[in-house]
Amino acid sequence: MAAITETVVIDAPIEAAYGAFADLDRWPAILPDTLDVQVLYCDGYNQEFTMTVERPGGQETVRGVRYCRAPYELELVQTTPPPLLKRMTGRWNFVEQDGRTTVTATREFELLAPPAGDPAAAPVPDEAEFGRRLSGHLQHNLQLFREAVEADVAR
Amino acid sequence: MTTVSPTAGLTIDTHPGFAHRTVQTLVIEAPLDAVYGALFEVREWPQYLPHVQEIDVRYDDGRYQEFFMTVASETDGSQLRVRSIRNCRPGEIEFFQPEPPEFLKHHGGIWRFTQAAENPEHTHVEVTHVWNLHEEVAPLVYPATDEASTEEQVTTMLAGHSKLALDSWRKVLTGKGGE
Repeated sequence: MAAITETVVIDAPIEAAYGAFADLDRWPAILPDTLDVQVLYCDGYNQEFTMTVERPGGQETVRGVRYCRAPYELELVQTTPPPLLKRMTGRWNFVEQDGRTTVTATREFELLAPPAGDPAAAPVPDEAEFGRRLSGHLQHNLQLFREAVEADVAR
Repeated sequence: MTTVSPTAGLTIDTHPGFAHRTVQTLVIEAPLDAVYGALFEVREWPQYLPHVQEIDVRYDDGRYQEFFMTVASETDGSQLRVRSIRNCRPGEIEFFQPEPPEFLKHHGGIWRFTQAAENPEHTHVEVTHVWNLHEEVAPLVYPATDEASTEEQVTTMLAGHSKLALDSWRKVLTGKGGE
C-alpha cells in the first residue's frame, strides 16, 4: 500500500487548528470543492459521515469514519472510498510549538486493479502518478485550512 | 514550549464525552493470538456463537471493519440487526454502534488483550463499554423502580452482555463454561 505525507504550519494554537479539521460542518466553507457533508453519527470520539466533492469527472461521494483524539489526532478510514480506490485511510496529527501548530496529514491508499479485457474502461493511473496528484490536493487543502484557522485567530 | 502528542493513550474509554461505562475482565486459557484472532475474524462468529445468526461484512481492510450482525433477541427470539464499526489494532479492538438501540444516544467500547501475568499462554481480556442514554427513551424502556434507576438497569444489562460475551468466548476457545 502506498503512502504520502504533507505538512503545514498554522499560526494558531493547537486547539484552534484541531477544531477546524474536526468540525466537518465547516468543511464546505473552507474547501470550495466540498459540496456537502452529512454527519451520520458523532459521539465526540467516533464520527461517521458522507462527503460529496466536485471532481473533474463529476461529483464523488465518499463515506468515512474518523476517530477524534482531541487535540492531537484525527484518524480516518473511508469505508466507501472514491472511485479507482480500493482503500483510503489516513490521519492528521497536530503538534504545537511556541503557539504555532504543525499539522501532518498522511494518507495510505490502494488502487483498484485495472479492469481486465475492457478497452472501453477508463484508464487507471499508476500508483506514483496517483500519489503525486493526491499530495498536491492534500497540500492545497492544508493551505486552505491554514488560511481559515489563521483568519479565525485574527478575529 | 512543545506540546507532545500523546495519542497512544487516547482511546474511546478515555474520552470524556461518555457518561456511563462498565468494565469486565476474564482470563481465557488460550494464547493471545488465538483469542485476538477469534474476536477479529468476525465472519467466523456464526460457527461459534449460537445467538449470532448472520454476519454481513460491508468493509474489512484488515484493520477497519464495518458489518451487520443479526442476533436472536433474548426476549422473544426475534431477529435484531446491529451495525458495528471496529478499529482493530494489535492487542485491542475499538468498536462503536453508529445506530445504537433506541434507548442509547451513543454506544461503543474497546476490547483489550494481554498475556496473563500468571501464565503467558493465557490471555487477560478486558472489555469496556461506554455509552450515553437517550434521555427521553431510556426511562420508557427501563422505567425506574424502587430497586434500580434507569441508569442502573442499563448498566446491569450491558455489564451482563459483556460478561456473557467473555464467558461465551472462553467456552468457544477452551471448552470451559463460565463460572
